[in-house]
Amino acid sequence: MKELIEPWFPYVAAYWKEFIKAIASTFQMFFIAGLIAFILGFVFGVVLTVTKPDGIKPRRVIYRIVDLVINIFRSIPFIILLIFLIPLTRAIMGTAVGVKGAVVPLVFGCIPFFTRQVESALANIDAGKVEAARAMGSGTLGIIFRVYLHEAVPDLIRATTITAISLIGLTTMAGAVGAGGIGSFAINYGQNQHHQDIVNICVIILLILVSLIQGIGNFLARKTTNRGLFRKKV
Amino acid sequence: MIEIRNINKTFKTKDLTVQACKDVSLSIGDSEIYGVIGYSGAGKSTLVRCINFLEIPSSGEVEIKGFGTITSRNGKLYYRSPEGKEVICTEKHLKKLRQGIGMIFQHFNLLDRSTVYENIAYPLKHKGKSKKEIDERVRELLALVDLSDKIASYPSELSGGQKQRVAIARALANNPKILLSDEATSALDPDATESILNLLKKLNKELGLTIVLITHEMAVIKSLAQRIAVMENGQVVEQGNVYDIFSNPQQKITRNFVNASSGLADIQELLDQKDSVIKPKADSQLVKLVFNKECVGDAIISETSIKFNVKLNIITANIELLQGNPLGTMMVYVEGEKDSVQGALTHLEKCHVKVKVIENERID
Repeated sequence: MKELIEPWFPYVAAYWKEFIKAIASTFQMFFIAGLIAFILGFVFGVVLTVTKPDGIKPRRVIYRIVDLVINIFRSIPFIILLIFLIPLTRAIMGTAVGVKGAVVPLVFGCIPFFTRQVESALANIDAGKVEAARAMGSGTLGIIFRVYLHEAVPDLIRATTITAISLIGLTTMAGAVGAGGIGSFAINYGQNQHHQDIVNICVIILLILVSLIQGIGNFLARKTTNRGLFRKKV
Repeated sequence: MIEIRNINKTFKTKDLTVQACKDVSLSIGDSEIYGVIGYSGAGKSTLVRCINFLEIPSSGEVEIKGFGTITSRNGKLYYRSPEGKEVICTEKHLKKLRQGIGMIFQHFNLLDRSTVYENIAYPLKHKGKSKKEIDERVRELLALVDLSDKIASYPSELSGGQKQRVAIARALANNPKILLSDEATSALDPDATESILNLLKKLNKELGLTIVLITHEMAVIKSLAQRIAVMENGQVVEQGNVYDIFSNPQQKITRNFVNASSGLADIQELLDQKDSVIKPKADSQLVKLVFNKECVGDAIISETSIKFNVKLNIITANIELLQGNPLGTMMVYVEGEKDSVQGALTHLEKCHVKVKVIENERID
């Protein structure tokens, strides 16, 4: 591999170890922060949908609080959020640098975005279906799992895809303030040392990553949208 | 089967208060098909949702035979068992109530990502039933609605009528005694409407299902309902046997519905346009004749014409079948001497024909 790219990307080959480490760091940040943000964002999205004034279990106070917190963190630009959260990150993780230091701001940056995406996916569910489920005696949990989440699967996959792609972007930004990963590799070894080939390969890798996520997302969303093509046997 | 007593429902928004149901009381019998008709916004959908408490009434109570009574009082719900013990009504009571009442909707409300089989199995799951029991019941229901070949289809592959059949099967899964139908045929074409109405008739007859039918289509009421209530502005303005209501409507809104369905509304339009088809002669009188089941078969018109030497110029005649009973309506110009006209009309009334003299060319 290294020998293969050496003629085109000489400095990448020179900093091969750092390059591999950068990719590994990006993956680490992506999966750890992504998993936490996915779970929490999912929960918040469902909570907002259920507790909103015309939801299946209106709870004004809960709705207002979650809604407000989401809005606050959504309006802070990520680069500001990164430095704003440094004290909190130190308190939780013991450090504000490296992959460990990046996870906290990444989670905070990602949750509001994903929560809104989940909320909007669930808002697309026809109120009539919910009413029918209530008429059949389904309770709140039944409606959440058997109607909302069940019917929204393709939209939720699309939401996850978009969020994952934006999370990749966030990891590179976190790199700018010392989190490591592809972002910091491109800045520290590419930009700062005038090695354009390093910047180029970072772009290529990000391009591949994003295309891959988008492709998988599209495929799964299509596969879960039930039309005659994908028929289960009964 | 269902006793609705003094139901009130008020919707409040910031600057608007709408009273959707005003002191509505209805009594619906066992195995009866009860129609509720009214224009949109009359409160009929709200009323039917108060039966299974999808809408919580502001006040009033609903008694369901075999289940008990749920009362809404001062913003709280109370449940009274058939034995008369009253407790605070919980989510559990409402769930039990709803599982005993099936409901179908205008837009079917099936789950799009589930097959016909899974849709019908929905209300059966999580009730301690085995896979085999569920499977048997689903197949039984599909046979009942005559859709066995669509078991593995998705809703998007079905026609409107077929979707409503699936919805009916789903609503009946837990053997309810009551089916609420909220404009179930309003989104269907005439053929599909016909087949759904026939299916409902069959279910009423074979299973003894009590059906509460909400609709704005007179044709649906005519073909199905035994008794009806007419709603306007949240109130029941008229109720009774469907034949009595049709042959002798009391309220303006009821007459509008009846006229629209018997084609009299069209005649009014012709009158308004002073169309040449129905231009009256100088000494003629326009009358509306209603023939009920006692006289609809007799040759009253020619009899009267000969006996009193009057000409009866028939503009329109219509016969409807309500619960198997014929009801005839006729618009006639009576021409002749004043005395003979009067005599003829008196004679018609004697023959049980309901005579209504139309003044100023206004059919009401």
